[in-house]
Amino acid sequence: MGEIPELEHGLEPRLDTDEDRSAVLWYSAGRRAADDAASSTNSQNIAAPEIAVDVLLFGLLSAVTTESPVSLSLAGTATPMDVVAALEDRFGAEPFAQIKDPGVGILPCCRLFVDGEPFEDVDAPISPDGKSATVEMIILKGFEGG
Amino acid sequence: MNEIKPPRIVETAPEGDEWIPSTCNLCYGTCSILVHKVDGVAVKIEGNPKSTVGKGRLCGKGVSGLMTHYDPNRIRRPMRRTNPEKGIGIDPGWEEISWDEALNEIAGRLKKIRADDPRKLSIQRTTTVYTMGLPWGAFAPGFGTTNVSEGGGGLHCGNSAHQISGLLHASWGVLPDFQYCNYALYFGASKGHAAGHNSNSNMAQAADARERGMKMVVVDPMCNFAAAKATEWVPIRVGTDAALALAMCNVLVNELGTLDIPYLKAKTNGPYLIGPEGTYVRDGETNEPLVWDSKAGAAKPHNVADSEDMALAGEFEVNGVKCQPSFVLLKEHLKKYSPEYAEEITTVPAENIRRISAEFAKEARIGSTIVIDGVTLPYRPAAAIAFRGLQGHRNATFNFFAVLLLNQLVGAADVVGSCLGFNPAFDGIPETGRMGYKPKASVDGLMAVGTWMAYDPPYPHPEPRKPEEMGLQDLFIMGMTSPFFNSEQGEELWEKFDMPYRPEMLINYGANIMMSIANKDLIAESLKKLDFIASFDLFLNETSDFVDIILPDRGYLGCYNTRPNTPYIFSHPAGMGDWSWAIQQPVVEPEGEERIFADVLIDLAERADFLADINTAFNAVLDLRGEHRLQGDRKYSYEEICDADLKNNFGPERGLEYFKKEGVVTWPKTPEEVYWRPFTDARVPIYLEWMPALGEKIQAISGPAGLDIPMEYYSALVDYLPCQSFECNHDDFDFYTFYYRDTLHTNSFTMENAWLDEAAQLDPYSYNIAMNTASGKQRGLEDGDVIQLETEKGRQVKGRVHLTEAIHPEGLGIAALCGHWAKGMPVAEGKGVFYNELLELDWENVNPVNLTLDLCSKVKVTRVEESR
Ligand code: SF4
Repeated sequence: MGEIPELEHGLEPRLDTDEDRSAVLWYSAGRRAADDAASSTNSQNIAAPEIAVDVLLFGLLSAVTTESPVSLSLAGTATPMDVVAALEDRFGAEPFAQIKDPGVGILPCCRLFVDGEPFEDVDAPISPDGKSATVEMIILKGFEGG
Repeated sequence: MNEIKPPRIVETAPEGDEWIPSTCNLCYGTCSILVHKVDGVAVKIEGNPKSTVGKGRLCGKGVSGLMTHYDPNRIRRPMRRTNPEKGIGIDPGWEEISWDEALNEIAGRLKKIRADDPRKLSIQRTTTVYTMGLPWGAFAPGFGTTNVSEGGGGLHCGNSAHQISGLLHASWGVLPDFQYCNYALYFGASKGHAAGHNSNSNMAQAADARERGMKMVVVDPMCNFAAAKATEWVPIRVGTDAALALAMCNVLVNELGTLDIPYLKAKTNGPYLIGPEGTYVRDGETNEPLVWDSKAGAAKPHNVADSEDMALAGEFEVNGVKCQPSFVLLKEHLKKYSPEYAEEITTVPAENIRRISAEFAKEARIGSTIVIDGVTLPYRPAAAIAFRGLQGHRNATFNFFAVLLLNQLVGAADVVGSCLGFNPAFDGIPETGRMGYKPKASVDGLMAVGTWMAYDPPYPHPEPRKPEEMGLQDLFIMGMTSPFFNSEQGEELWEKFDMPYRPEMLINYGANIMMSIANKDLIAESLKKLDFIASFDLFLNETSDFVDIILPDRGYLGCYNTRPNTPYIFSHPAGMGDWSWAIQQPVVEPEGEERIFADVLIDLAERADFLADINTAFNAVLDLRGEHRLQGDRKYSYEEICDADLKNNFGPERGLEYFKKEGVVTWPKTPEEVYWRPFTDARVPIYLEWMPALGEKIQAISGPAGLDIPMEYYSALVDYLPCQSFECNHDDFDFYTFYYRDTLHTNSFTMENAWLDEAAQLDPYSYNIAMNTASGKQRGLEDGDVIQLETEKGRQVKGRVHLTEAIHPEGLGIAALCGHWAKGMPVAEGKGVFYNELLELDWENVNPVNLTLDLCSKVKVTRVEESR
């Protein structure tokens, strides 16, 4: 037992474990991440004029209103969270409670599309170029088990 | 980027003679197949050697698929009940109706419910064809219900296995890196030796590994699929695995001191400082958890200090607060799990526990490296794995976590030879870069999965809330499937929590929920309460007694699926080799009036006025972009949607037509994908810091409703906690029953397959109750006697006993879900034992963290008939 297997595709095992050869491999990802963080610069928030946002609600969220699209006027820097806040102002917070979470923000079960493209960063502005946008929202659930 | 291997040329064959590539779905293993068709009739099914999924091999079930397809008992036309009375064994009085009649009635009801509260529709699917779930993944959210469940929510779902594998390995499950592992330690798992996720490829790899000399030590109450081929079988008392695993962790940490310290520092939350409240000590400015930087002699946020300088030992004072690294707390906690203590609980001798621990530690070769395809990687050729057996108990979450903790201690996680998650990192399709995913750091620096099979990932969790989902998963947020979906106790719990609605309608897709959750009476009561049930089925089964309209499904040989094997965390070989992307396609013409269920769902969406919603849901589920997005309320065929999905991912040249011909494309994996852990700056928890607070939050909601949370299940340090069945202390109740998945059968479904039934009748275990020979003799039993098992609550099953040395003296093993009573499955009727009849379905018997149902029961055994 414990024999080194016949090795394929050019393996070179190094088993002289007096020296911990793997330690540097474990540490390296963290060091790379620290270097990356040090070299990155923070993006600045630039004030932008208001934009028109049309919101299309599908599935369970479509029960919130018969209005379609829901037309909103939001700050140019509006993020998906701002869209949800504006919807809450208009229709009440309850229907949107299931897509929001104090820790996570907008839950991954709520899928957003901006102008037909999936939009994942819930902290990013939906329209970085300050143009009007169409936002589609649907709750996905129930792909579970197995 | 690697190139996809060039397409295979399909050989020319005589007219009317063809081999069609597709995917098996007699279980969710989804092996790639070739179906031989002669003059329109499928005559043989073989494995597709071009695919890495199955690698050209099929199991006994896979080759028997023809018998399911051509079974004369199949439903071939829509039917409606004429007898309004529903009950077990009560004839519904089926009459054949047209598709139009059936769909108009169902759509009419859907429209009404959708206008009222769409959550009143619930959807059940079978785990057997789990991978055919995409159309349901669009139908349910398009309609607007969040109530979707798996029919095997009680028995078959690996709730905790998935959750903890996700937390620690970013994957749906774990297995040894068969190509390089030298020492595999199995707990209640059969990976590579039985059914389930990617089983055929695993079997080939496991066989090669054993031949190569991989030592396999299998902890299991029964010496069956894995243990029978192992180097060593360790019989264990049912449901006590956590005690054994924690004792082994104790030996590693406190007796041997064999630990991968750099791994623990860099890849776990072992260095995070824990204050007197048991929670992280956090940085005042960033709120990130602090570690002790030994070099600087000061506390620093975990993402600022270099891992090498993080202390794993010692006691510190930070801003006047005394604190210790979480590893210190774990080390102390483990001391109570001495091998002697574990021996009392598990019946595994203390000296064996020490020996196996020492073997595992030695074989892990801590500190070693290896070069794979030019990349230097940590080499840890030892793996501890677990699966459904060990997690089918009330202590499900901790049972699983305790086993995987062994790997964390020696750094044997997602590196060469170690315990691997199935494919948690994927660079994407070579030519388009689409579909790629990778684990990444998330809240508090802990790992979040790159992809997941459910929409709420295992970490970070959403906040628990007053439940509005039928299965209560919005309160028990670490749960995925829930056994309370269709149960009498569900109603009791909904009342407690003031649920704003009740289910009125069920659409079932192939699940036989009367058999697959728990005892039939409780399920029957819940089904009777529903106003209307529509069910896609192949046979009239036990659940059909409660159905209003039956719809004939085409089965797996008649359906499309563009993604049977993706995401790759579900059923695709782990380790080095190739990626394969296969499809499933109709290989036979429809019989009678069968239709592809996905097209039926789209039809229903049209008739119930939610086409635009289902289209948006398809766009979201399939991540369709640009020209491939489904538009507005246009009606698409499922074939068109499949074409869009493939072109969206593989480019315009590789749509459905290409895949129908080729069946599969493959390309090589890279070492960085397979052994991703060293390249990812994310940690995993060895101390579940957030759990006590989570338990308290749930208690704050559930307590006032009259449901108290046993907080010991929410501790930051994992423990052994006994099953409910251990509380039965009557002298004559002296056996623990357990269920296991048979290799010959899938769930409760395949007993109707004539070939599999014949094989199962020849097998001494499939349809019998396994009992230890000495235990049987002590009670005067002979092999073949008919015995009755009875629980303390009076639930009974009967079956023929098979006496064998290959089972723990206190265990009774029952395979699969047999014992059918439906007349519509005449081959299956009356064969084997209906295990679930023994199971309660209540709060006392579920894991209070994620609602996994405890599958063991304590029973009294009496002989009712002598052997033939
Ligand atoms: S393992 Fe499952 S998918 Fe594979 S051949 Fe067997 S039944 Fe079919």
